[in-house]
Amino acid sequence: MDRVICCVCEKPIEGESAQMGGRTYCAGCLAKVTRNRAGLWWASLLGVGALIAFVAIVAGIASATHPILQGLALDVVGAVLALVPAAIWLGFFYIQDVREPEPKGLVLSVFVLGALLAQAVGVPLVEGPFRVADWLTAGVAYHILGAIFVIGFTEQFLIYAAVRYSVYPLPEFDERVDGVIYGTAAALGYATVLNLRFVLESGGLDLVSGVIRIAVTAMALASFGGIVGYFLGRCKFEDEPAWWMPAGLALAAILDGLFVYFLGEVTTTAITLRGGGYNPWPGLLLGGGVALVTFGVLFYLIRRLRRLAPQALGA
Amino acid sequence: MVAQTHTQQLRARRDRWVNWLVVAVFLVALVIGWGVKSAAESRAVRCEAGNMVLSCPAGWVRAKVEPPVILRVEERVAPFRSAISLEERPLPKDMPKPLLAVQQALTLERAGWVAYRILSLEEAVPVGKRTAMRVTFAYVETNPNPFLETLPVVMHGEDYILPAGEDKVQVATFVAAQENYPLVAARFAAFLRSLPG
Repeated sequence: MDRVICCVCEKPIEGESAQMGGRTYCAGCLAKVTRNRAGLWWASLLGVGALIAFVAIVAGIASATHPILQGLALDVVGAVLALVPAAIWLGFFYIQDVREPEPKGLVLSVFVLGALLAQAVGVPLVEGPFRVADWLTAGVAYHILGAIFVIGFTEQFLIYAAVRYSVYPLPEFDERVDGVIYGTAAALGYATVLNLRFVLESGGLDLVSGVIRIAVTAMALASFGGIVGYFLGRCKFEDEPAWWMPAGLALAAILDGLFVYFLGEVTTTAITLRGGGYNPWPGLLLGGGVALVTFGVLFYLIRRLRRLAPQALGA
Repeated sequence: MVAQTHTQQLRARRDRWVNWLVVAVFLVALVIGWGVKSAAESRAVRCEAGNMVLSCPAGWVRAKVEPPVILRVEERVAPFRSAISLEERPLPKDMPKPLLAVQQALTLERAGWVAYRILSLEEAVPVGKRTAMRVTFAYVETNPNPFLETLPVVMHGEDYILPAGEDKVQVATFVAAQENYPLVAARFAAFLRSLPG
């Protein structure tokens, strides 16, 4: 007679076994897999709040002092600002993630991998063969479809790849919520490269508009990276159907594309004799709102799965 | 134990399948994206010139013209504009090679352009049902605004000189900055195709 073996630790199950997502778990592994990490949600919540506060502080300083930054000073300040969102999230996560902490080196590696993939593949693909900036605003349909199929899918696939081909097969990826952690880290790496390029290529950054754009990019990508990570986490520990992960990627890409479109819509204003044409503040609200709602939904889903775990143990 | 190993093998195989499926979905998305890009770039609007209805690139601005030019559309997003123009000139019937005579007249008119050079000349190129003379050329353009911090750019262009009826010749001209030339050449091709045969 076959002994029942846990699908995670691959040891024979002596006591109670549990069925979840078509797989058999021992009680210890089930508890671990379904564990929720409060640190992740606190880091995300505090990260969004801190990022908005950071933007407000920079905007306040800029409007009070009207700093004249040029050349190297501007590049250095811009580069530091571009790194702040990732530093805030990673910082809060490390502070919060105290019980059985995720290996810091791995989280940082996935962050760096996300950044490298953005620089080596994502940006060259979107700006090179696709030359998205040349045609994206040709019409509403082109804008939405281009943002989804080119920008959204490229960004989310590379975030998926950064997790799937690095940490996903490792034993350290041992909880469903790890997918959200690593997906968010990869996405923040990707966002950091986009922000650095924005600062260095703009050649002259308006401090307020620049810092808002940096914050919005980071919050949005982190959210959608979290979605990809959620699907990856469930894919690893449950027997989901074959369409599960492609559907997760498509969902994140569609949301990413729609965000790109609506961000353009809400930040574009009418041009008048007194100026106008671009107002970044609604973009900050949109980015913050999307991040809070996305991480809220992910938190709810992870917690709901955790609540179902004891029932699985009794099965 | 064997059953568990078999299950694990099945799971590993399923993981590989899922992985390839994700890659396939990404590639399909890129193909669709390429289609969207092509559609956006080849957008055209109807524009009238003389008694012709032509296909002009959408988003380009129609400029005021004087004879012999009957149509000129420009892309006004760059300091050095891509442009398509159409001229109608009388056909020099008394010349042995009338299209070549028109080409030489064009060259003389452009003598004032900085570093104007003819790059190639093909005497018989099919355009719809007509046969045109195709001339490619290059010159250097400097922005007339002296306060604008721009380098002069090398412009690349081509003329299609087409007989139009018994006594007229049409000259369709396309110019673009060298670096933009391949990107917008397809729009000129669409314009050429819309010329009535």
